[in-house]
Amino acid sequence: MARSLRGLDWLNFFVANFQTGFGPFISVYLTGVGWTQGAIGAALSAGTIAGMVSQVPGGILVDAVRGRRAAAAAAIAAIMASALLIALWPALLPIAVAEIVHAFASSVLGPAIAALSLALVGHGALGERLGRNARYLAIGNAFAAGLMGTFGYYIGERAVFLLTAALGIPALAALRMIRAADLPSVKVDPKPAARSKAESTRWSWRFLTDRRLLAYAACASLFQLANAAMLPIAAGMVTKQAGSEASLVIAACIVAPQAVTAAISPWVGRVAEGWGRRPILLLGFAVLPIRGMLFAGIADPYLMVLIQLLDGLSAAALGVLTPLIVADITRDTGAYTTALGVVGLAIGGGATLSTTAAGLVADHLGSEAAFLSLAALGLCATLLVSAAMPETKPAAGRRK
Amino acid sequence: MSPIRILFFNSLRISLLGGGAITAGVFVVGLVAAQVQPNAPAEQAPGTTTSTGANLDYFPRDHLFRILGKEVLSAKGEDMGRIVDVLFDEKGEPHAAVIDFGGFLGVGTRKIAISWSALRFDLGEKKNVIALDLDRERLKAAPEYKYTESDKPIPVVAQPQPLPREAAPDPGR
Repeated sequence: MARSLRGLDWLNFFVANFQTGFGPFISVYLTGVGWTQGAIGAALSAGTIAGMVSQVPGGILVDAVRGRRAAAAAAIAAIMASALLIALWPALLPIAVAEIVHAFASSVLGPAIAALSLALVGHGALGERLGRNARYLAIGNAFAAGLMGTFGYYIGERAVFLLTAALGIPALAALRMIRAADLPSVKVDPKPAARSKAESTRWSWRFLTDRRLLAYAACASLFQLANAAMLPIAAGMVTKQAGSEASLVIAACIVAPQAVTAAISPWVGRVAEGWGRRPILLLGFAVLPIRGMLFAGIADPYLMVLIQLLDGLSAAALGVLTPLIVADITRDTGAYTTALGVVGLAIGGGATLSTTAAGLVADHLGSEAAFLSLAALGLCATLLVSAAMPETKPAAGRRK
Repeated sequence: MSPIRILFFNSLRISLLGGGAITAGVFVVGLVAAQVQPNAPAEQAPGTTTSTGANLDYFPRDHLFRILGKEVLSAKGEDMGRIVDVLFDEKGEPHAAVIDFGGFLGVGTRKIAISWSALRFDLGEKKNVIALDLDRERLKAAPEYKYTESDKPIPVVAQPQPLPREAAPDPGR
C-alpha cells in the first residue's frame, strides 16, 4: 500500500510537468517557428474548446472503465505523443491535432488520478490524500516552470516539448508503482455495505440535480472568472515596470505561490477532514478579492510577488476541496468523475471568459479597473459560497 | 473499455510512426541546410544575384532575413523579443515592426510596435542578427500594440534622435 501511495505522489509530480509546456508557452514556440498571430490564436482556441468539450466525456469515460490505471496510462501516452508532434511537426494541422489530443487526454488524466486516489484510500482518508496530491502537483508545477524556463532559454523552445514528452516516462513508471492489489475491484465506494443501490444498476444523471453540486460548480466557475486573468494582467504590468529582471520577477510570480500551495495543502486536507469543508472553502475564496484589491493599489513588481503568495492559499484550498467536495456529493452514486467533469467544465468556462473579459477591461479602462472588477467578482464568489454552499462533510453516522 | 483502449493505442502508434518519419525528415532538411549554407556564398559570391533560366535569383542565405519569429537583440546583445508582425505604409514600405517583448514561458508578454528605422540588420560576425537601437527602459513602458482596436491611432516607438551615435544605420546595404 505504501508503495502505491508513493507512486501516486510521483504521478502527481510528473503529471504537473505536462501542463507547463502546453500553457501560454506554446505561443512563444509557434512565434519562434514563424507562425502568424492569427494562426497561433486559432490553434490555441482549438485546444481551449477541446478542453471544455472533453471535460464531461472524460469524466464519464473514467467512471465507465474498470481499468483506471490503463485509462491514466493511455492519457499519459497520448500527451507524450502530442508533445512530440508539437516539437517535430509545427504545422497547422498537427498542432491543432496535438492540442485537441492533449485536451482530451488531460480531461481523462485528472479524473483518473482523483478516482485512483479515492480507490486507494477510501472516503475516510480522502481529504488528507488530496492534500498530498495537491502538494506534489504544486512541487511539480514549480519544478517544471524552472526546468522548462531554463531549457527554453538556453537550449531552445523545441527542447521544452521534447522534455515534456520525456517526462511522460517517469510518469508512467510512477503509475506502475500503484499496484492493482491495492485497488478495490468494486467501483468507487470501498464499503459495499453502504451501497443501497446495487452496483450493477447503471448510474444515472440524477446527481446533476443535486443542489450542492450545482452550487459548487457555480461558485468554482465564478472563482475562476475572478481569478484566471489576475496573473496574466499582473505579469504584463511587471514587464512594463520592472527592469531587465522582469522575466525573473514573473517566474517568481508563477513559482512562489506553488511553494505556498505545496507547504499548506496537507494541512488544508487535514483541516477539511476536521473542521469541515466550508471554513477552508470560505478562506480560499475570501483571499481572492483581497488579492485583486492589493493588485489594483500596488504597482511595485516585488510587492506583486508577495501578493501572488495569496494565490497559493486559494490554489491549495480549491485544489484539495474540488475533488473532495465532489466526492462527498457523489458518494454511492458511481458518478464521481462525471461530476468532476461537470465542475471542470464550469471552471474552464469561467477561466476562459475571465482572460477575455478582463483583457477588454484592461485595454479600455486600465489594469487597475480590471483588478477592481476581478476583486468585485471574487467578492461575489465568496458571498455565493457563504449563501449557497452547504457543508458537504458527512456527519458521523449520517449516510450520503 | 477495450475498444477505447485500442483506439487510444492505435492513435498513439500512428502519432509515433508519424513522429519518427518527421524526425527523419527534419534531420535530412537540417543536413541539407547545413551543407548548403556555407557553400552558397562561395559559389555565388561573384554575382550576388545569379539568374538561372527561369527568372530565378539566388541570394546567399546570410543576405536575407526571415522576419516572423525573428529574435531582436539589443545593442548589448540581450534578447529583446521576437518580431510577430510588420506594419507597412501606403507606399509599401515597412514602417514598424511589432515585437513580442518580455515575459516568462509566455506569461506577461507585451506587443510593442517599433519604428522600422530603429532596427539594424547586421551582417557582421554574428550573421543574420537584427539589432535594436533602443534601450529596454524606453521600450518596456511603451503603450501596447493591439491590432483589434481599429479606431485608435497606432503607437510606434521611434528612436530618441534621428542619428544618435550610430553613424551608419544600415551597415549591410
